Amino acid sequence: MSVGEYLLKELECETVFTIPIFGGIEVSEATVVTWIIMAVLILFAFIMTRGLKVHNISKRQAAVELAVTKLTGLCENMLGEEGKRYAPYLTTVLIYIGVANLIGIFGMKAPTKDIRVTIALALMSIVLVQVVGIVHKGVGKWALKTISPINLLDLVTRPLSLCMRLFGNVLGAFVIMELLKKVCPIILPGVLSMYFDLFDGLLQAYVFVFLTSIYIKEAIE
Amino acid sequence: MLKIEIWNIVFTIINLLVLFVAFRLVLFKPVQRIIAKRQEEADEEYEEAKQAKAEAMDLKAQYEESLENAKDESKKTIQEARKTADQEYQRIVGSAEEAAKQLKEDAEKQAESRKEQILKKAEKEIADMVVDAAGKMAGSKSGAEFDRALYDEFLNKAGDEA
Repeated sequence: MSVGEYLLKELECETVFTIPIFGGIEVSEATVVTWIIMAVLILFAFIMTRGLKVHNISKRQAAVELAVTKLTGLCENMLGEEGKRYAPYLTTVLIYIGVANLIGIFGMKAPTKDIRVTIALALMSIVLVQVVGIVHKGVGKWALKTISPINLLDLVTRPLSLCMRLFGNVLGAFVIMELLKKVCPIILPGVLSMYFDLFDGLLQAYVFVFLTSIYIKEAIE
Repeated sequence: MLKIEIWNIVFTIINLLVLFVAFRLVLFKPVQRIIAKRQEEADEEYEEAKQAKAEAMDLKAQYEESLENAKDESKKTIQEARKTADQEYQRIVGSAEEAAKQLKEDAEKQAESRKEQILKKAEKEIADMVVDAAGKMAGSKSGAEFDRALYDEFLNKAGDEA
């Protein structure tokens, strides 16, 4: 099997199973991995938040409090005072994309390597931005602002860029790592994996959330 | 990789919404609630401490005032006592002086009158002696003998008297 064939096979999003309705709904690997991620994250969060106390907190509680405050604070900072209420959603997206990008380390296929997942994420972001615009400004003002050609174009380019940036970065990092492993299987991949698998994965999660928060901020003002 | 169809996009959207709701329920809400509770408690305690401090300051001011009053009071009392004592002293010394003066005057008067008495008595006795001696002289002797006798008699009597 040549390198090209191997890469193509690795990049292929296999259908795990088919739901036999509407002429067969194919459930992709990315969706299944997302379910696994969700299950792990929710279970983890559930276990971590058992028996929270006001005083004499355990190390576990201190850790979960710190994590939640820092992550939510990060999103709140980006959103500004008025957009604070959307921070939990953005934090969820941040955690999800971050974990999804890193799941490759555990031998699973990263869901963000499937363009359908990044399309879904970008769609949700742009819908959220429009909803925020309507909620904060009223339908009339929002429509007036959105009707201009540039803003109409934004409606297309923004989700497209969000979706393609995330997808492209994850894909690119994956291809480079695979090629590196073929060319020089020792030491070098380990070092560069730090950047491409860990740092880039988290950075892309941050970038995605950062851009979405900028759009939301813009919609509020 | 690039297979785009609607179902898995919908699945992902549903997945994300479920994850969001689940996170809200088991992660964000509980943690935020506990943090808010702690904040509330801290605020309460801070407020209480502030109140307690204000009360303490009030009490302190009161004590200081009463202390100041007590100081003034004691000063006044001491001054009054001193004044009274001074007056008493003056009065006692005054009356003592008065009494001493009186006593001295009385003593002087007495001494004076006593002196006069003694003098009068002496005069009288001398006169008697003279008369007595003269009578004796005149009865027994005459001329120079009489003078001598008279003189001796007087000297003897005077010596006896002295």
